[in-house]
Amino acid sequence: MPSDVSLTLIVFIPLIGAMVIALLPVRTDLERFRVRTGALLATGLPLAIAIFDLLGEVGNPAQGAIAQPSIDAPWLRGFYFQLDYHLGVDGLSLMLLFAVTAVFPALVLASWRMRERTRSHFALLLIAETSLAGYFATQDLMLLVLFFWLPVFPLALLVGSGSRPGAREAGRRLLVTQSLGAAALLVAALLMLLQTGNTTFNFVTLSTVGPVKGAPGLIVAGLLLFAFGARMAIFPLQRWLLDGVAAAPTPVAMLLAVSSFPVGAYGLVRVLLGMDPRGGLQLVVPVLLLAVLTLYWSALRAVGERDLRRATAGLLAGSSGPVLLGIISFSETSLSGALWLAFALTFIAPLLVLAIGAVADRGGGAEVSAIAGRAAGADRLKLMFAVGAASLGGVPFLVGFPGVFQVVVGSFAEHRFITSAVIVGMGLLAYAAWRVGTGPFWAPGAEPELADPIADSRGSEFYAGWWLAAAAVVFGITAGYFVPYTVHGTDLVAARVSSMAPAKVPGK
Amino acid sequence: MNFAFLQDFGTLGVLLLGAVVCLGVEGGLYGSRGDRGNLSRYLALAFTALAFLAAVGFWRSSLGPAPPDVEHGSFLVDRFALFFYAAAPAAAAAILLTGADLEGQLDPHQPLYHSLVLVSTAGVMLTASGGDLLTLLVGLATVSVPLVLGSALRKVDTGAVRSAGRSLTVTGALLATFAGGEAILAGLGHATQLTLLDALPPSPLLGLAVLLVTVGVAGPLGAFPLTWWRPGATQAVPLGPSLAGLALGALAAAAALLRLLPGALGAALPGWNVTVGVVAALTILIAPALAWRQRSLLVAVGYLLVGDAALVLAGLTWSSRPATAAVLYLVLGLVPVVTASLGLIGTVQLSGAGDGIAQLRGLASRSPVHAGLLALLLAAVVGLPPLTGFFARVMVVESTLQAGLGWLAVAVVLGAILSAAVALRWVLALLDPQAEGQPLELPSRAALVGLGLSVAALAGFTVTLGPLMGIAARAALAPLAGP
Repeated sequence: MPSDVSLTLIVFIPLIGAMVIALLPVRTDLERFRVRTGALLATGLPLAIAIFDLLGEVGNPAQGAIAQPSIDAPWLRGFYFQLDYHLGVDGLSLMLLFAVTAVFPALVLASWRMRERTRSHFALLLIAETSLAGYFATQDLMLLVLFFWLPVFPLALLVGSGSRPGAREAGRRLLVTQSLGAAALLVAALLMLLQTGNTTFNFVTLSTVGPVKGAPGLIVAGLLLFAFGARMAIFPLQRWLLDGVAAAPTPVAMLLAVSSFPVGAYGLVRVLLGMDPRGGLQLVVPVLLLAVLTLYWSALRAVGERDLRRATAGLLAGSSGPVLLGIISFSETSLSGALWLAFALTFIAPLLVLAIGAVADRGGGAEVSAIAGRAAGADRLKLMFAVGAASLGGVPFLVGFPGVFQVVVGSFAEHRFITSAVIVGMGLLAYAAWRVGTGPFWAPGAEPELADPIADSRGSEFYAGWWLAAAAVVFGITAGYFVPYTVHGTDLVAARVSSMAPAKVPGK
Repeated sequence: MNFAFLQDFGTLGVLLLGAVVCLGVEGGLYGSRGDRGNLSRYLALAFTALAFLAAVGFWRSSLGPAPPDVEHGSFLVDRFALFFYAAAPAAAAAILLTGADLEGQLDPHQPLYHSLVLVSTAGVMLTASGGDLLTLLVGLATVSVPLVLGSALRKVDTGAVRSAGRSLTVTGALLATFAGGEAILAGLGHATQLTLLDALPPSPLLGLAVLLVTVGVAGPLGAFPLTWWRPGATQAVPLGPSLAGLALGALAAAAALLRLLPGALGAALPGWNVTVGVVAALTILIAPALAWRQRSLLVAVGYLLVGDAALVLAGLTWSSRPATAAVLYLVLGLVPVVTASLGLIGTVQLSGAGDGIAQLRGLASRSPVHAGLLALLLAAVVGLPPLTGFFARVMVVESTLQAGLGWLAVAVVLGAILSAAVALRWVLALLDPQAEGQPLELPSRAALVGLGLSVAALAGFTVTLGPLMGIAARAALAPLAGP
């Protein structure tokens, strides 16, 4: 069982690190090295705590259905609602929290060579880690809203301060889209409280009281879908991600990818299905349509895109399709699959962005015509991309497979046609990934010695890619150990939806 | 002999005594000519500290089971008033510290300015203690008029005197507007006591009275239709009095409106909150839109603060104890935001760097302390989480939803997003690595202490949200139950 302070430490060590880094000087190389090392330490400590104090939880899958109440202290009383400083993890959140702590050291390593705005970059990166870790660790809806909103401004700053054309516009678009999403989540949370007559934002209470009925329930569900859908870059709310990944420096683009898909998927399961299941049931048809549209639209965009960064972002946005299908199918298996896919994307998305971003950075641009075949000799980058793309496509023994498999198996009984369409769409997505990879790595006829070859990954960038690829392989092989814990985590959600509309929910 | 009046009027008396002492310094009774500014500032700080401690002691002694309220005619010393008795001296101290570097504009009349700040602070207390319409009017005049006069102290610039004259005219017009609203209420109720206003007969004039009262009180803070005026006025006059006017004005406006609207009229006029809500929504949306186009950080932040102040109006729209507590928390958080942001921008402006977007571009690389503080304060001004403004906004949104004014909740949310876009633009300019320029000198020690305390308050008010809301909820009892 996690100790009382472990979650608090995981969430707030990066924030303390950010505050310390903000005060450090960065005039010389040595001072910049101190900043980078400090950032690595501030991301490494939460990972160590997560490994030694949290990960052992999964050894007892039955515990996945129960939130471990590490800390539950009253924060605000005497208003319409109560706020609690309530942290805890269960089967829905533990793996995602672990993934966040595991991926940030890689992001720091990928940022190691940044020379401009070193201090602000690492400080904002660490604030983003606090917000993501807090988001998955909290058991209070208002805290979840706070942590959902917290990274928006730092991310917009990181994207907007890039030197590529369109960076400012991309930062502004990210800010507006994600602020609207966060505002929708806030209003939905307050409406939920108002309609149910509840006074606490506690997850357990909100997941057991009578749900919001009628039109308000639908409004709440619509707001939640908008909020989390915008974060997952579902159709048609993808432009912020495409522009952001295209315009931001590679480490920032990796961070964007990390802070989008898992956050949106977890929110849909935890809040929409867990707290407004009736509203969720009313949205089945639109969400299924959105799943298919997101998958096909993104895959086709990725196929036709000449800018490899945007194409990669399109690939990732397409993966929201199967996640949505798994969520809206409501079975324990499909829900577990959706969450596992979100977990997998935490590693896959930055890995793909890193591989393509490194090629584009060193190739002088992301246009496929400018870098065609020039990375043919970059075997490490090639391998990183291959592992990422294969994981995204659901190749067995890689981290994406258990997610795709569970989504398909769990959804097929209820939505045969849509599931079949999604399977075909996954094939299209795999084709798009092949097209994206072919350009720089395997373009036919391009001889590395004829064009200016792109140097292979080395140093900190290589270690970042290696770390992410290793995670994709290790969690693919050992998935059988972790998945039962996640499946048990979906027990309560599936049961609650089942109690609302038993006829619509397939058996386990 | 009964000395209870010393306790009841002591806090107010300390501040007025401090004002007299500062006037003595101005007149040359104490201190050498070159040192008078610092001497009177420290004296004023000492008197504000004394007043604050007295208010806190009085608050603690009023928490017993016996009814704590004290009445001296129309002068009430209840928990609601005591909340402002503690908040106003704290705000005055923040003004004196963060605005220390800005007082050079007023040389050699800093002691007179300090005296005016103390009188204005006493005006906040008088407003909070107002038990009838006339006391509220006198209280509001005591807050605004001294600081408008203070803005005319910049002798080197004749334009400042003209601007101060214009501000005085506008202030007078707004006080007259407020008085007009009060006259209607007094005429309808045949009384000026707030306790007697809850039985007003239904009349179409009531809506007009609420509008006049709202505009009259919130107008000095830039509420619609004066949204265009306030930031421009801030730029034209010395920044110290402007900063003080906004911070103390927000406290006084909250006190007056809470006493009058949910406190006295809450039961008499069911639809008054719609009128207040419309003024709030217009201000909340127009202010950040105007800020977006500004090339001067001071004016842009001025508009953003106008939007923040309008949240007080939005929070008023639901007559209940939690909503009133939320307004008190909001206004408490607004004070450090106003003093720190305007104080720092003024310091940067006076250091010769200017406050234009071109001049501030790349500030992070040459003056990281200034840039970091400015970025943090911009985040606080627009209420980004986890700073204090975020929860204040959340509670205001909840209050508007409870009041059934969903459109106002939407306006608050849209205003927050617009404000965030403005802040992003400026922070991106601060972080621009290409721009070059001279590094700025750090603010003076007093200003740094003030900035440090204000920044600590921005984060600290979030951490201590629960206890502060507990205090605010206790203070919120009185105006709603009637004096």
